[in-house]
Amino acid sequence: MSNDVTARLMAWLHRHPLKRPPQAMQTAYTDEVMARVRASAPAPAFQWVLRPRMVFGFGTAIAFGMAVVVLTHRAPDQVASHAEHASQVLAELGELNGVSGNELEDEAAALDHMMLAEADTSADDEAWVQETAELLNEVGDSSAQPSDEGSLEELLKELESLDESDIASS
Amino acid sequence: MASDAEVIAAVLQGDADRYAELVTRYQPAAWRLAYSFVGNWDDAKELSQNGFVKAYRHLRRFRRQARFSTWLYRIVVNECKDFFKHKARRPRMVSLGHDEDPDEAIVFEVADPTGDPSDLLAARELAGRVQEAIGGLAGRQRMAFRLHHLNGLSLEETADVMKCRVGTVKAHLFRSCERLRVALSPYLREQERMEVRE
Repeated sequence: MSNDVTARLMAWLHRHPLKRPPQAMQTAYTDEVMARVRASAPAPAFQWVLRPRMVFGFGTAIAFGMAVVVLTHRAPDQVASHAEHASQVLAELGELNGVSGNELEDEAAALDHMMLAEADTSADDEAWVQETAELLNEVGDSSAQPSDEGSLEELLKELESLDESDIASS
Repeated sequence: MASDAEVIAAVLQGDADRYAELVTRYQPAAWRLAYSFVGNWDDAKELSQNGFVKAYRHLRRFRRQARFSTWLYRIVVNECKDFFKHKARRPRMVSLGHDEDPDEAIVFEVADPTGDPSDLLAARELAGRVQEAIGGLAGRQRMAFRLHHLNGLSLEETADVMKCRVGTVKAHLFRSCERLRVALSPYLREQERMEVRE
């Protein structure tokens, strides 16, 4: 019985299939689709260009490369700009009043010597004494120049006495 | 006539105009498929056209294991699902009111070869009952019934579109037929009696 009813239903569906689209509406269908296809998307052969991951990867690589190039070229400029900024600050504080460029250079060189002197990199005492004498000579103390063996001993004694007087005064 | 595979290869090589061959070939089936879901030609046309455009855009992703038509039908079905989901619309139910345009209200081709107006009216009424009963089926059963019995897809194609096994499709079809049998038995018997009298 149930099979009979189902068979009748199927036969009815066969006799009365789904309606077909109206003929008048069918003519423009393909043209409309093709117009949208041409307008909205490139040919699939070139769609790889539009793949977001690939575009993102390319974009990141290009941005990284540009960042490296820009930073590399800007580094010396940044140092110069820092120096300019420092001199501007000093000028605003009045520290550079009446000081010429040459004097500033001399002061900077002297400061370098002092820093080198404080940084004890000598391998032994004799070399350290030699370097110290040279430094003293450069800062204007001509008596410190070791001319011979005797004067070197005198200089050592003088330095020791200076150390002792420093310790005593402290 | 070039095969689907030949046309697709030509389109992928940059000859976009060849895609029109596929549109012309599958336009009636895709349009009718959408119509069986939404119940009016305008929406069905727009949804099926959306399906063609999306298929073109993703043609490179098309796996050749399935037929192009099956792949296209799946896209169209998804368009129909989105249509109801996003616009919060319900599938159009059949109305038998006299003020309705019968051509728009009834999904089936109802023609009466005898030319008797009463027979035509009875046939249309039964068409409305059938459509209503199909609309009352559960979601997966309704889809399987529409794809296989109304749109003529094979069991394998229906399974591909629904992304399930053929056995599952058979189960859905069996249950849907059982429900329709219960819902439509009185009307089908009445129809039978009328035919016997004639």
